[in-house]
Amino acid sequence: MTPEQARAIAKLLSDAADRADAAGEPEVSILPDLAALDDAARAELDAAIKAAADR
Amino acid sequence: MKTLTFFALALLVACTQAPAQTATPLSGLSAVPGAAQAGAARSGGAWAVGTLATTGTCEMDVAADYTALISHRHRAARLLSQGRMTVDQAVTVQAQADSARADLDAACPNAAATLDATKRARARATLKRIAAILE
Repeated sequence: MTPEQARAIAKLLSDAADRADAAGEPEVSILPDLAALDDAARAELDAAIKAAADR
Repeated sequence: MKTLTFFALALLVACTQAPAQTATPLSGLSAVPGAAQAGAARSGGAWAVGTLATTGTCEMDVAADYTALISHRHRAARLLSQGRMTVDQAVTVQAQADSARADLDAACPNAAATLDATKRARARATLKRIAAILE
């Protein structure tokens, strides 16, 4: 794991913990956040591919 | 949050009583995903153990792989925009990233699941192939 990855995971955990505290949830999961971030990265690459293909 | 709080308290107690003995467990916390999220600190004759993830969950075992996947997609988009990667290469990266994502999703479908190490290994092999394209 790189320092960048460790920081990203730590932030996800912290954000998820804040949400769990606010909602009164006893458990924290970061899988939905990881999936959402990858969905966004996929859309970004898809847009870059379309833009490059149009050039 | 209870496990995090307990872990912090365990470290605090260990540091105040035997600071030199906590160096090894602390250094292992960020070195290895999964197994190393657990740390132990000994103070005198007592043992205190804490973990960042609930025992039996798999999400910490795949978290670093997801972040690598996300990083690869971002990097491919940047290289393509800078003209340092062909469209064909980017399409290949996207397809392989989709394959890795499917394997990661299957390796740990939810926080309560048991890790499927075979699917995670397959995802990691795909991530390596993507990294080779990006180099």
